[in-house]
Amino acid sequence: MKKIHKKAVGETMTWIVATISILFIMIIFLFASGVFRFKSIGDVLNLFKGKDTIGSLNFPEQQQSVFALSEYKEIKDAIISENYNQAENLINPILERITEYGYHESKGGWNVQIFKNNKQVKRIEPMNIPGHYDKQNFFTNLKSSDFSIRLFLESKSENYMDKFKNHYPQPVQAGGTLQ
Amino acid sequence: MNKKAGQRVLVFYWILIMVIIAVGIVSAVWNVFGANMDIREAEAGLLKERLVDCLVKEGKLLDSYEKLDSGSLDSLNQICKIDLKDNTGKYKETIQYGIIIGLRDINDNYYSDKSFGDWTLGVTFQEKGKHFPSWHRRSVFVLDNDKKAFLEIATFVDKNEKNT
Repeated sequence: MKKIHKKAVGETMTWIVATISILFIMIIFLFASGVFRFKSIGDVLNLFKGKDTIGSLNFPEQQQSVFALSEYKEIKDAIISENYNQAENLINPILERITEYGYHESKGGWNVQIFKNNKQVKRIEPMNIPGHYDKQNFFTNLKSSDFSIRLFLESKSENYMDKFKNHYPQPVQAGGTLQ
Repeated sequence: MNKKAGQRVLVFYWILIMVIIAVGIVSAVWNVFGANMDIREAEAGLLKERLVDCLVKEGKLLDSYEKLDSGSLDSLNQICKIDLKDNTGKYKETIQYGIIIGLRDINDNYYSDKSFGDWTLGVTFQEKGKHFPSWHRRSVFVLDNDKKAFLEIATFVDKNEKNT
């Protein structure tokens, strides 16, 4: 009789532990589902690191602006005469208007480099944010051009750049010939 | 007799556990997929990018800007292949998008502007409180027949009751 009683207690304990385990797993499952609920399409895309995002971080407007800058006669003249300060004076007010809304923060913004014959001749930092966190090592000069203008997002703050870590904005550039 | 009663209790127990598991799975799935997912900002961004591609090429303003008939959704559809009409049920009769395009000279004077869809979404942006429209606004430096200009593009997506 005692033996049967012990067996019953053992079985009951097994069921109780199993029930507690199931409930525990269930609570974790529910909690996890609450944590991973998505607020925006960006949240979903962030899960797929390294994949391209839907629009908006390729900056076609900056690309088109750089094309226009490279066709801007006064800028070309300034580069031909090696008057790079003049080029900076012409580019700065334009850059302030075309840069992404919200990136005019003290920690980050768009900077410009001018290359002539594949050598950097001017670096323009209108936001006064000397870059310490330049991730643009995939850049190559435009070989067929006498000069090129490159626009890139830069920051001295690693935290600031972290928000772009999954789809880092490509630098945009355009080149031209000096005549 | 006791064994039979024990088995009956076990059956109830199993049913109870199955119900708890089912409720848990349904709740978790509901929790994840029932959450509002706001894709409107991505939509506004895509709309803006499509407009840039349609109106500017290699830094030069294209004829398509002049050809666009302000206010005409048909001309926007024909020239830029953008259809602002939402034919999917809920918003069938009401325009949920707004576009404002303008040209500004280097001295910040506007000399041309066009709008499509419900451009007043830009005005009501402040008034709608929590459920405000998503929007994008960008300036593009362009050469308008060798004249230096800024193409201003603002896109708005309302869709407060769906897509969010």
